[in-house]
Amino acid sequence: MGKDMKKVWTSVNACRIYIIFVLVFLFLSIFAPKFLTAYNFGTVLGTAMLNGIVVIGFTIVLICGHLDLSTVAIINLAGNLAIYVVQKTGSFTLGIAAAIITGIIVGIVNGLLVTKAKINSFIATLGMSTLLQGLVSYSNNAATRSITNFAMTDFLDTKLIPLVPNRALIAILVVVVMEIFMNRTIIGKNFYLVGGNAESAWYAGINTDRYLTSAFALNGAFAAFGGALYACYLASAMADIGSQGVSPLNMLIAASVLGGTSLSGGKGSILHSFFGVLTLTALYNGLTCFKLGYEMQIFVNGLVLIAVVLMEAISVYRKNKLLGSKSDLFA
Amino acid sequence: MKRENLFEYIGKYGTYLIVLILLIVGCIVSDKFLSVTNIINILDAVSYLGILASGMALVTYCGQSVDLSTPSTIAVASFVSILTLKFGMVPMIICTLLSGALLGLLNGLVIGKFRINTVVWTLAMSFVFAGLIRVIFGSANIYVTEGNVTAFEQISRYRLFGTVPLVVVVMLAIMILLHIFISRSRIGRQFKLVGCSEEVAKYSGINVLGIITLSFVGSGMAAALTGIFIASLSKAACYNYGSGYEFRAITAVVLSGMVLDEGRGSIAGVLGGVLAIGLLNNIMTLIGLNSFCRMW
Repeated sequence: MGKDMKKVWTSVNACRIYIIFVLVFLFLSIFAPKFLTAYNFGTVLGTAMLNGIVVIGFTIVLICGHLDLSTVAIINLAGNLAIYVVQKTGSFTLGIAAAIITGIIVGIVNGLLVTKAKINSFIATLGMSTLLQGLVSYSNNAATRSITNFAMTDFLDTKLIPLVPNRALIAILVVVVMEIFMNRTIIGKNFYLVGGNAESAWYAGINTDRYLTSAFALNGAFAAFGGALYACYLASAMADIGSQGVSPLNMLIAASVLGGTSLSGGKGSILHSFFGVLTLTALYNGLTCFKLGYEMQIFVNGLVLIAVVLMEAISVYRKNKLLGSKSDLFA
Repeated sequence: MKRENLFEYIGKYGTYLIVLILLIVGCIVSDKFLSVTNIINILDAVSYLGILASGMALVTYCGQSVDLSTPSTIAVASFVSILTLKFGMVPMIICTLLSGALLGLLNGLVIGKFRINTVVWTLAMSFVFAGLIRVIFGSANIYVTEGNVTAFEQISRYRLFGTVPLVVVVMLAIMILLHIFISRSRIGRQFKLVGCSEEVAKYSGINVLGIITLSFVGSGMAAALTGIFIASLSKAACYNYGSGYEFRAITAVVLSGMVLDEGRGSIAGVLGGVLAIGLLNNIMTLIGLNSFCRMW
């Protein structure tokens, strides 16, 4: 392979998510009945709202080299809390604010468990997830909380810009802001350093513990924001609001990895992850257009995740082999 | 005793400390607690979890964090067991264990070869197979109709000497065998070395890929066995039979004192972890807490 070919391949690999997105979109537009309609386009964008917002924080934690399994539980907690506060006070702003603050607190606790108590992030967030899920189920006795004020639903459903519902617009705005924050500011870039090599980051004078904790806090904040917004949109919340459709945890991991986020940390992009969510949402929507049910969605979601993870692993394996090191030595 | 020794001691036997405390609490809470029926009930209730957790412990023990594909392995096994029942009991058990072993083999080979993040890979596998079952059977249950139905139902209901359920005996037998295997045999010791440091294990001439694969095969077979018992108990197979089991099994493994990145802990500890969960649930039932509290 010539040097030019290699350069082309690297640049293709860097923006592979856009290529995949365009391919999936084109394929579905041509073959899936009723996929390419203005109404369906709005639906796809609207459906991507919850996961699109949540994936921001999830990607930041992945960039730092950790996995937050409590994300779904935070979504559930935030959704129920937001609806509860709206029931009591009647103010959506208060409800969403309360949810976000709770999310940040949960995230900070997660972060402290990982950084100060040195608990494996998998176990710490898993425990937190069980705890929060139990709390949510206990507090509302498996019933659905609902409100009769549909102002928020109407607001989120109207289209300020043609084709794009407001809820998708909010998600896109937040994603763009966070993408600029991560790529253009020193604080944002430091997250990559911490994830790539914590030791050298520490030598560079970065407080790695603080960055890790704030990554978990950001994840809590965005998961809570997404959950609260989604609950307000539905005007109701149940104990498993986060598991509507395909399990979001699986979707989030698949979307981030599809977007090129490395599971070992240090690599990733919020915009790419967001496009990952869009691609998968379009794919599931397309499956529904083919009149294939929820079963097929789970199956395809798993296949996509497997394909992406395997592709990434094999490329790393090859690279290490070329470098002469035996990759199966290093986890 | 030195401070460090004390910590090590607690780390090693802490789970039995919890079990002891729970036993004392149980005796205080209810006079029915220490009856033979109740003790057997506790064992009966945790035996499925115990079989699963002892398999999962192998994966954790050799340093591969956790096997999240167990729920779908359980579901697949329940379908395989009912579908192959018409060929007789022994072929059914062999086929089911084989299906679990095959799933484990796939997990182990891929993870061992390409060093994929275990959590993500096994989660993905879980979705593929759960999805596959749902696509094939249209999300419907299947029921035991062909073959030796009564014998199949008896698997989970049979009690040795009229008191001890077969499941409990199977669980204890598996745990004792695994404990001896892990702590006494050569391959068992290799598990520990791979768990402590893969690099050192590799340079010592240990087949790391083989050991990792073996651990996943063990986990898959344990899950398949659990699947047979669950299918026999409910006389049906359903795609969501395993859901929730994986996290409870992880809880048991973590309670046992195994650390996720290191080859520490023992299978005997897993029994302690499983017992602690069972006792806690039992005490909560005796007090009368509702089931949502117990999700904690």
